[in-house]
Formats: sequence, C-alpha cells, structure tokens
Amino acid sequence: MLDIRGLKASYGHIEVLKGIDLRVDEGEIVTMIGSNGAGKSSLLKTISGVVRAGSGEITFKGRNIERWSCAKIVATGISHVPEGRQLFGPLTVFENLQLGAYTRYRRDSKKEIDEDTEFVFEMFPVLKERWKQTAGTLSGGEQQMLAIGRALMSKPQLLLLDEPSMGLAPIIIQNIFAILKDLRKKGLTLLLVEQDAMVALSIADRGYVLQNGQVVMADTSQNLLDNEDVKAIYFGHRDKAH
Amino acid sequence: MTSGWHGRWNKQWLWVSSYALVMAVIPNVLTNNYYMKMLIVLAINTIIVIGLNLLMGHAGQVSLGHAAFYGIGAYSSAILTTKFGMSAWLGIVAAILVGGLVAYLIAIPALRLKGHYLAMATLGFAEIVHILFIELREITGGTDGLYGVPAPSIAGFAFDTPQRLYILVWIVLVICLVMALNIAKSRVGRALRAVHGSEIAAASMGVDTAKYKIQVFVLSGILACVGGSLYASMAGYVSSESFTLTVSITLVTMAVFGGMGNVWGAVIGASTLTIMQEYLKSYNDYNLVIFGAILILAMVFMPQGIYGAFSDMAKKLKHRLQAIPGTAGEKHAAS
Amino acid sequence: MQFDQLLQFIISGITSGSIYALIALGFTLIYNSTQVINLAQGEFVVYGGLIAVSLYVGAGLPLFAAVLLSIVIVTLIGVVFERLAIRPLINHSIMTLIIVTVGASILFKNIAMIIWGRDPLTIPAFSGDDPIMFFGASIIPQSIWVFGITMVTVVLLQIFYKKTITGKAMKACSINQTAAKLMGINSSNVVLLSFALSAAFGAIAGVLIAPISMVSYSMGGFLGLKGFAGAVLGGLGNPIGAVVGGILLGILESLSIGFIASGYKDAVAFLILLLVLFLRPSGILGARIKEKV
Repeated sequence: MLDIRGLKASYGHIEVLKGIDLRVDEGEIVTMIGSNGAGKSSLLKTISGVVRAGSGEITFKGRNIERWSCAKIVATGISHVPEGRQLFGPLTVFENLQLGAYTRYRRDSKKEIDEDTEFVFEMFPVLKERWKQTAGTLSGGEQQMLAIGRALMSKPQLLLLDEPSMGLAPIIIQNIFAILKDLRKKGLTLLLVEQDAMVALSIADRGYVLQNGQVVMADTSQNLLDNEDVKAIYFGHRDKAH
Repeated sequence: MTSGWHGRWNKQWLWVSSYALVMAVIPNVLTNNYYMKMLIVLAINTIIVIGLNLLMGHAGQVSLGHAAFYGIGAYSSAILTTKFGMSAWLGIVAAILVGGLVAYLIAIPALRLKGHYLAMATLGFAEIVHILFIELREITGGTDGLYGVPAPSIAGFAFDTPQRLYILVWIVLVICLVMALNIAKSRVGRALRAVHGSEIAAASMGVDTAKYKIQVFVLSGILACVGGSLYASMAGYVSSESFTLTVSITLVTMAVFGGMGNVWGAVIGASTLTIMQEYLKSYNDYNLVIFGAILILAMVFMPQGIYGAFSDMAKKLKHRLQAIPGTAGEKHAAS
Repeated sequence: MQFDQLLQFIISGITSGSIYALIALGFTLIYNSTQVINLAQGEFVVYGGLIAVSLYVGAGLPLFAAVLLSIVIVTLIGVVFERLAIRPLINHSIMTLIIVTVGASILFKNIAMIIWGRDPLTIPAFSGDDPIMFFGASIIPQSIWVFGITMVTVVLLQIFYKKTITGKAMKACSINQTAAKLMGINSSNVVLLSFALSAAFGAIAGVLIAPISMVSYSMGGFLGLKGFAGAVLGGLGNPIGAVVGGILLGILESLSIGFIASGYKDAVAFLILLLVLFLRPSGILGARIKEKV
C-alpha cells in the first residue's frame, strides 16, 4: 500500500532522513521505534506532506505522492494524527471533527459526513457527551481520542499515528490501543510511531528500528521483541527506570 | 578556526578603511552645497540605520518609531542651544542622554513582550512624541519649528558650512560603523545571529537575551538621537515634519532594503535609498509612485535585501569558479 | 458636562469608532492568517471612498450601485495585491512582508493622488442630512448607517466563522497552521481570502465615512494607525476584540475632546495603545499572544 524508497529530507541544513526504505501492506499495523531524534516524526511528516521530501520516492497505492500537497494527500486517503495532538483548542469538539472532514465537503454529501461523525461518536462516546465543549478543555486522553477521531473524519485508508500514548495513564493507553486494533479489524492500515517500544510492538505486525535517520533493523514484531540488541537498547532503560 | 576568524576580521578592517576613504574623498569631487547636504543626510541616515540593523538583524526586534529618537535628538539640541544658550556640544551630549533614557524607559516594558509588540509600542510612542513636537509650542515652536540652531565648534574652528560639518559627521559615522561591527563580532552578537534571534536557543547558550535586547535598543535610540542632533546642526532649524511616521518607516525600509543580517547591509540600504529618493524627486508627482513600486519589486526579487542578494550571488560565483581547476579556487586559498 | 453634550460626544465617538472597528477587523484578519501587520490597510479605506466618488459623480451610477461596485473593486485590488506581492514572499520573514505592505501603501497613496488629486472628495449621505434628535443630542442619519452597517458586517463575519466550513478553516489556520495543513486546508487560499475580506472591510469603511468626513488621498495612513490601535486595544488577533477596541477607542477619543485641548485628541489613541501594551498586552478581551517562529 505504502512504499518508501531511498527517502531523504532535511530541515535547513540538517538532514533528518538519510535514505529510508519502508513498506506498509494493506491491513497491517507497522510500527517505527527508535530514540528521540531518530527521524520517526519527520518520516510521518514527510509522508503527510508537512515536510518536503528532498529525494527518494513515496508511493501510495501505486501513485507517487512525494511532491503532492498536504490537501491532496489527505484527500487520497492518508491521515496523520500528529505528535502532541495539535487540536484546535478554542474550537469545539464538533468543529474539530468537521475540520477533519474538510477535504470531503465538496466531494461527499452532508449525510455521509454526518454518518461518519456518528461513527466516531460511537467509537468514542465521551466525545459525543462533550461535543459542544472546546477541545482545549478536554482531558489528555479525551484530546487524544479527539485527535484520532478528527483524523478518521477524512475517511483514511492509512492512518499515521505519532506517539498516541504520550503523557497518558496506562489504563487510557490500553483503551486507545484497543480501539486501534478495532480500527484495523475494520480494514484500516496503521503506521504507528511510539517511544514505548514494548507497547508498540505488542500490537504491531512488523516493526522498523530507526537510528539517526536510517532504518537499522526491520523484522516482525515477535522477532524484534526477542532480539537481544533491541532489548538492550530499547527496553534496557525501562528496567533501570523501574 | 581562530585564524579563520582573524583573517575575516582583517578583511573587515580593509573594508572599513576603504569605505571611510571613499566617504572622505567624495566631498573633494562633489563640491557644491547641494551634494554636500545630501551626503550629510546620507551619512546621518547610515548612522541611524546601523542602529536599526543591529536591533532587527541581531536582537530580532523592530522599531516603527525611530523618527521619535531622531526628533528628540534634533529638538534637544535645538532647544538647549537656542532657548538656553548652551553650546552645540552640550546639545549633542544632552541629546544622547535624553534619547538613551527615553529609549530605556520604552524598552523595559516593551521588550518583555514578544513578537511585534515593540513595533507597536514604538509606533504609538513616536506618534505621541510627534504630537508633542507640534503641541508644546512654548518650547518646540509648534508648527513653525525652531530656527537658529548653531553649529558646534572646537578651538575656534566652527563646523558651520556643510563641508566643515561633514568632517564631524564622517568621524561619527566611522566610529559608529566600527562599533557596530565590533558588537556584531562579539560573543553575544555571534550567538544571537547564529540562532537567528531565537530566544530559547540563545538562552540555552547562556546569553541573557532580555538584557542584550534592551542594550541594543537603547544604543539604536542613541544613534538616532546623535543623527538628529547632527541634522539640526546642518539644517540650522528643526520642524516636526522631519520626524513623522513616514520617516520612521523609511528608516526601517533602508535597513530591510540593504539586508538585515550584516552591518554592511545598513550602509548599503541607507546609501542606496537616500540617493534614490533624492534622484526621484525630479519626477514630482510620480516620485513616490516609483519609489513604492521599486520597494515592492526589490522585496519580491531580493527578500534578503541587497546585501543578501549579492552575497548569494558571490557564493554561487565562487562555487562556479572553484569548479574550474586552477582558477579562483587557488587564488582564494592563497588569500 | 451636560448630559446631552456627553451623549453627543458618545454618538460621534461611536461613529468614528465604527470606522476604526472595520479597519481593526481588517488588520486582525490578515494578522491571523499571516502574522503580518498590513500597513496598507488604511489605503483600502481611501480607495473605497474615492472609487465610489468616481462611480457616482464621474460615471453617474446610482449611489447604492456606486457604493457596492466600489467595494467589489477594492476587494479585487486586495486579491491582486495578495497574489502579486504577498504570495511570492509568504515563506520569507514577516519583516520583509511588512516592508512590502509599506511599499504598497506608498504606491497606493500616490497613485490616488495622481488619479483623484489632492482635494478631499465626497458622495451624498445615504439617506439625507436631516438630523434626528435623541435625548437632546442630534444624530445625522449617516451615523446610523455607519454603525448599522458595521454591526451587520460583524454579525455576518461571525456567522461565516460559526456556520461555514471555510470560516472554520480560516479560524483553524489562525489557531494552528500545521494542524490546519494536516486537515487538508490550503493556507494559501485562506491568506487570499483574508486579504479579500480585509480590503472589503476597508472599502466599506471608506464608503460609509465619505459622506461625513470626505475622503482624500492622504488620509489612509492616519486612519490605518487608529484602526491598528483599536485592534491592539481589543487584543490583536481577536475579531470581536477588534470591533470592541475600535469603537471604544472612538468613544474615548471623542470624550477626550471635552477634557483636553483638541490638538492632543490624536495623542489619546496612541496613549491608550501604549497603556494597553504595557499594562495588558493581550488586550482588553485577552486574546492569546502568539508569534510565528
């Protein structure tokens, strides 16, 4: 579904992606793990068009999208839940969801959009309760749900998620990851970036390990979980912390 | 690394001396009073724009009210000399003190704020000052202005003709330029420029940005006051019309037009626009239409200002020459 | 001060304040989409007034047709200005863009001088000049037009923000540009729209004020400054704040005439501007302070 070959990107003079190869097949959950600054978020931003690709290819369902605008990429079926949620704080929950469907207003009927809003409300009942509240007044977990709900409003086939667990209590993380699994059952493909490698690999089919803007390892989640190097680097600090 | 800096700094001295020499030679070529006065205005503008350049390029702040400091300098000199009979030198010193103090008082509250707030505050401040110039008739002469501002003199030598006054202006200009280059070269100046005025980054490098910004703002205010004081001496009178918002904006425009990242941008911007404005005067009604159009076009095609555009061009040229073996590449390495 | 006198001052303050409010709204829209302070904002007011004069007096159109057409033309000028001068530079520093607006204001102003000359021009009041008495104060009908149309404009803008997806997209852009991009909102269109609306609001102010104070080529700069002061007073970036700030500024300015020498009347606006900046920089309605990095 998504195929990335030799992708490079930079912020000013600093190269953040140094030739990335990555593949996501339809119906998969793929995760990227790696330390801060490894290039995970930058890769998601490059896929969704926020950051311009320097060189290399991104194909989505056979079409080259690396030169497309964000708007066109969203309309084609890739939706990005950014790091830190990036909600429109002063706008209501409902308005945030409407903006999620922005690219569909000229294409789809109002009825279809309403149905999808209902779908999001069913998935996250708390959002329905608070639909009139401004997004800024929601709790952290609710905000993450709204960010996911908002991304779903564009009816994506591929959902890019950047650190959905950040700053949330374990029980809420479980809740959100259960919903992500559920979404996959409904046919959505997910590319997930997580700081917490253990959690990410536990739900993903496959994983990529990024370091300094390069893929250093790619394997099934199970193999990565068993891999001694991965354990040492990415789970080691967890043991120390506990 | 250090020797590289040293080399660049030596080159800088060469530029400063060449510029000072050219500015010293021009009056011997263009001898009539009209050109002399224009040259003085050009030098005064350069002095003020150097201050604005430091403020904008290094401290990342904008002032839309420097005409106020320009005016405060001019009026302080004019009032103290004509109303209180002080010497022109004391007038200049007073102008510096008053201007510095006022700049300090504006800077403290305004620079606590981010973004365009200094620009807004200076704009409001300058409008109030301008209204005071008109309304405080008793001391400013109201719309008539003040006449008979004397020229400074030293040991019997009065700077009372444009040719003579230019000597003084030239000295001040060169001092200001050297000072500004030194500030730009200093640790704090380099740090701030390196991070493009980003306060968080500068703070992480251990630079007290708030203090530095206030200092630069006060300095730029003082330079404008000095310019105003010299202007009063040249013209012999002051009037509120010389210190309007348009003047403030023109000064900022000179700084942007020349290029904000480098002190030489100020020199280029002030010189080019002063000459251009003078030249365009012959087009009467169309004068400002052309000026406005040039300004827009210049920004669209040289968003980094003249200095930025030329240094880009020079870099590209160097690249190209270095690609050819045995030419400029080696010459450059030798120098 | 007598009550009727006070009322008279307040009424004339609301009239000029409405004009400031429309200009302040224009500043706010452009600031929200680009972080740029458009120093050519006052010129839109001048062009609105002067083009209406030409269409009414010169081309002989009916008054209302002349007024509407003038607003449309100025809106187009705003659109062309954005596409030619702002769009190519949108990724450059804010300062470069502000200087472009300075260039535009000089250009607009002096073209206006060449086309319409230096004398102030006027169009007739929309519905006659017979004053209406109101608790001992007299109101000219045009003042009611000024206030009424300003209010209608403000209400329409709010409906636009609240009820249309384009309006919400515009708001989204001013809140978080990156997130707006991720929703597929094309910020370049939002910027264009903000210039179009700003120009339209300026033109509305111009045609409204023309019958009362006449319009001349040179008044744009000063009106722009007052509108800007109003926008800051209400909290730069907040549309409601811009309107409240503009009207409040008009009233304060008008009242000040009753207490201090008239020469200082114009200083009042800027004194308020400074006080607000130093004491309550987020404006009286307290919008967020933000900065493009």
